[in-house]
Amino acid sequence: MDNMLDKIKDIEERRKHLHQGGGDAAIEKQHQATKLTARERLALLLDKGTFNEDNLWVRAYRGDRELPGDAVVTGIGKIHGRPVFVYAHDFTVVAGTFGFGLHYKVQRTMQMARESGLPLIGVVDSGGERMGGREGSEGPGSPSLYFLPMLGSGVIPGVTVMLGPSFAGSAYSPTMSSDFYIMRNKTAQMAVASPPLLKTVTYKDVTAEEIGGATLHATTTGTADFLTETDDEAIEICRELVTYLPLNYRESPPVVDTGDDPNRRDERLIDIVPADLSKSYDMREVIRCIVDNGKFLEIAKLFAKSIIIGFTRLNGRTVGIVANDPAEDGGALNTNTSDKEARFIRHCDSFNIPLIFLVDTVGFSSDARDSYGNLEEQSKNGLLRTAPKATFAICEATVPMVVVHIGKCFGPASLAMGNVAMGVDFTYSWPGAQVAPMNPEEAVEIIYKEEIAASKSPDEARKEKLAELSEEHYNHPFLAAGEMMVNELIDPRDTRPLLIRTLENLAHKKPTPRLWRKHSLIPR
Amino acid sequence: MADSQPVKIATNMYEKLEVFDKERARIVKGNSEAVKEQHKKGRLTARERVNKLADPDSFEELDIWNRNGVIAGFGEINSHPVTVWAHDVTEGTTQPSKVQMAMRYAVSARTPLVGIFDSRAESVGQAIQSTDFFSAALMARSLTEASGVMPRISLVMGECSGGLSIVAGLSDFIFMVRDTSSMHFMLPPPGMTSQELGDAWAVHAKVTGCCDVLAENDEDCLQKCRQLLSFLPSHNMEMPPVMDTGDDPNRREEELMEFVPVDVSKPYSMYRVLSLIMDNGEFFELKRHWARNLITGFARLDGHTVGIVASNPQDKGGSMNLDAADKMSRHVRFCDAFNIPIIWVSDTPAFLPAVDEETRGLIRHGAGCVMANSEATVPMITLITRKQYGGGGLAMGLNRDLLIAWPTYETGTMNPQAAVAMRYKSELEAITDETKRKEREEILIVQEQRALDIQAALGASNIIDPRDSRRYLIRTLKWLRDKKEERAPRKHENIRI
Repeated sequence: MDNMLDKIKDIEERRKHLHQGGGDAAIEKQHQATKLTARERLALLLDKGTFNEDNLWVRAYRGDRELPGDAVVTGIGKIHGRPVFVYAHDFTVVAGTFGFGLHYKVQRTMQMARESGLPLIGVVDSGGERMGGREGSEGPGSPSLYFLPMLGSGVIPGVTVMLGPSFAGSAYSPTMSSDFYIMRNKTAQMAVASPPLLKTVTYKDVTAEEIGGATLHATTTGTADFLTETDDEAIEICRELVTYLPLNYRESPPVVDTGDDPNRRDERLIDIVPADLSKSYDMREVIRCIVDNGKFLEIAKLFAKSIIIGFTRLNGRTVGIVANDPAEDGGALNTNTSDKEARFIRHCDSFNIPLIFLVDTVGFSSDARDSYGNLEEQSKNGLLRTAPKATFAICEATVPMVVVHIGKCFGPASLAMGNVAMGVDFTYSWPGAQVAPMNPEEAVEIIYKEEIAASKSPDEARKEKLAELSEEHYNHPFLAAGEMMVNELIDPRDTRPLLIRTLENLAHKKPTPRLWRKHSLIPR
Repeated sequence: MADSQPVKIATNMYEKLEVFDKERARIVKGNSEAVKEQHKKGRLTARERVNKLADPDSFEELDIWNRNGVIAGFGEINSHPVTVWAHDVTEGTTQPSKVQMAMRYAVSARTPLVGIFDSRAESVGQAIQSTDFFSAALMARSLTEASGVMPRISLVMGECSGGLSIVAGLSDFIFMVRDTSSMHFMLPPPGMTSQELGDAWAVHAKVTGCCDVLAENDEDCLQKCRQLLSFLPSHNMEMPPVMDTGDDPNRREEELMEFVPVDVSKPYSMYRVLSLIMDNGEFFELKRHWARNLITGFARLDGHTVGIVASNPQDKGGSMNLDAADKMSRHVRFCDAFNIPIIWVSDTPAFLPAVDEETRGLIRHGAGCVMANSEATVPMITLITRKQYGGGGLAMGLNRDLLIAWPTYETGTMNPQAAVAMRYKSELEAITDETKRKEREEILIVQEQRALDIQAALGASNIIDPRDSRRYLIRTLKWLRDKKEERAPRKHENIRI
């Protein structure tokens, strides 16, 4: 080897070999499990020809066996023309387990992403810590997979695409480093304990799917934000999601030419909401009528379903939507909706994404009718440790915030859906909305307590007074506007143009300086 | 003031003063029927409460003439200024404007804020038209602004419901009084009392974990609040107060040699360990009856406040779980915000393997806990008294300055017996002779134990004599007292919720 070309050839041969990861048999096995390899995944995730790999050449062995890349592919590439840092576990190499090289490479990726102000995307498919992988004590602030995510939190967006397993302590790292979790059904599993461990300790036979399947996390634990059926689908969602986000907390999200007319009025909005507010309707249809081209990327669709969150665009600019779903338990609020909502609001606030609240909820009271549900929610689920999180998140947020009242919003529900006293900039109301300090049923009991008690037929009296009260106050939009709970009464068809104008007017909103603090103490 | 005006017109300063003194005395005396009623319920009145809360004669009421069911003002607790508001139910309905005023004062004066809740939520006047519609929202915003800036304490000493319960829920500490206080968000359904729905002991101390401190009666509640504040700085730019506790920093404890069983399956009282190490054995515990497998609270070492997070081997073997993760992250974040060094005393087999923990969302709550640990920049020390397997290391002080351990330290992913059973399963199963298999297994366990001992020694900053724990902790905290760690600017972290 004495000339440059020979050396290059040598490098390319070895590169080709390393690109084969765990080798043909292992790749075949991965394919048989309907999974793609790390490199195939990155090829789908990143724009063609944009991937710059980092530390492919790491010397890693287990005994005599060479471990290409030490079971991980890391580097920087582009998604729709914008740079992102990525790491992807290579399951074909000792099941993507964490060895010294992997730790170093992923740490470096996390650190580089934060320092360069670029999103971090992790493609997870790993057996967890490798036996005998890594030892030794470290001083404070030394980088580790469990420390670095915190440094990046709120600085750069993080997305985890989980396509394979992730168990025990190693599941914490991606959970901390991601604002959004995309999990693939059947192949992705994540849990602190493993089925064999549970068998040993609790004598229970459980499957990995039962304690940590993607479906469980998407529907029940609320850890996963998207549930997909294939690798391709998961990766496509990740590519789309990133287009809504800025590269870091100092920047604004990219503006896209969506071609939708900012002055478009949608006639459908006149009929969509039934006059009788106890009847439900499709809130997603309302959203689609308002936003650019009806395009809405919903997040955590299967968890805490009575609240809808997600990204969309108004006149090409990203906005976060928080909407009640009246078709789901009357849009009831509870511990899970609070967690879902608070997390999303804090994410939007971190990354300069304005928030629109579309409000129509029976409030926290829907369970109150039956004492079991009431006790369960207020006691076991710790409603009072959880519900304040959403309130806190809104009060803390400094991005433009607009509330649109579509249906019901009584009393404390407004603490969860925002009002001007909490820092919301504008509150608009559709003509049929009912916004009041108390729902009519409760108000009747308090105002006409004596009349009802004195009546020979209390039920009749209650009904009569309710009708009176509703006619006097609730059936008109003027009550809330008169009390300045609502700033303007609007024609539903004007919602889109008005929201676009409002956000344009608020584009220069800057956070007012706050008292210095290390961090807030959001309830936990 | 009309009814109590003297007949003649005041002509000099003395007489002018008398007019106000008389009126003040009348207001302070209050409605004697209502006062009697309040006492009959086993509760003190708002004035009695604020005066017992503050140092003697230190409470200064503001805006006394504006009587709307709330007392607000400032005073001193242990000679440090505080801002206080209290619902006065003897005045009938309570209006929120004075509460909001007190909160604004606390924010601008940077004093701790203590609020005393004792109010039935809605009144007829507020049912429909309500200029106070935003009251809870305004309070929530003030408390959010003050979050992490000054300590915010809620004493729930009566009923607390609706929006006010959210306001209480936004504070750093919630005190409740056994049998006489209740807290719930939604109103009780027909046939259920307020107490049944939100009892201090049965619901919030034991089940929800909302209650940080459970008091036996009003006096006890106020006294405990004074005690808690003695550990805390007035605001986040201050260091916690230093006290002369008179306890010898070099005190050695022989008892610690015998106290912890080497056999990891045997429990012992972590409370005893803490009391032997801390100044005068004093420990102010938080959320004592909830997530008991983890102990949190405040103590002093050589007069300096420390935050304690300790495993409790007497409950669930000291293992971590979802509630314990929430309990820890809340305490760690509070300590970090207020410059209080944190000491983890660890003896844990890591996270509890349980199906319903996983399905409730252990990962996301656990991740919040690990994040809180890595976020903190105060001096942090982990003292391991015995075992710390697997993920326990992540939970018990991740970004600590020092990890010190007693010689009984055991680490690894699991105990040696389990490790051998899992790793050498096929080898052991291949041995058909049971005696031989047992022999081989014992050898392997001893080997594993040795390997773990070495691993433990390598992982620790130091292995110390248990008797010297107090002295060692005091010396390391002194060394780390001026610790500073910078964090890159951001609007806020996005901790896992």
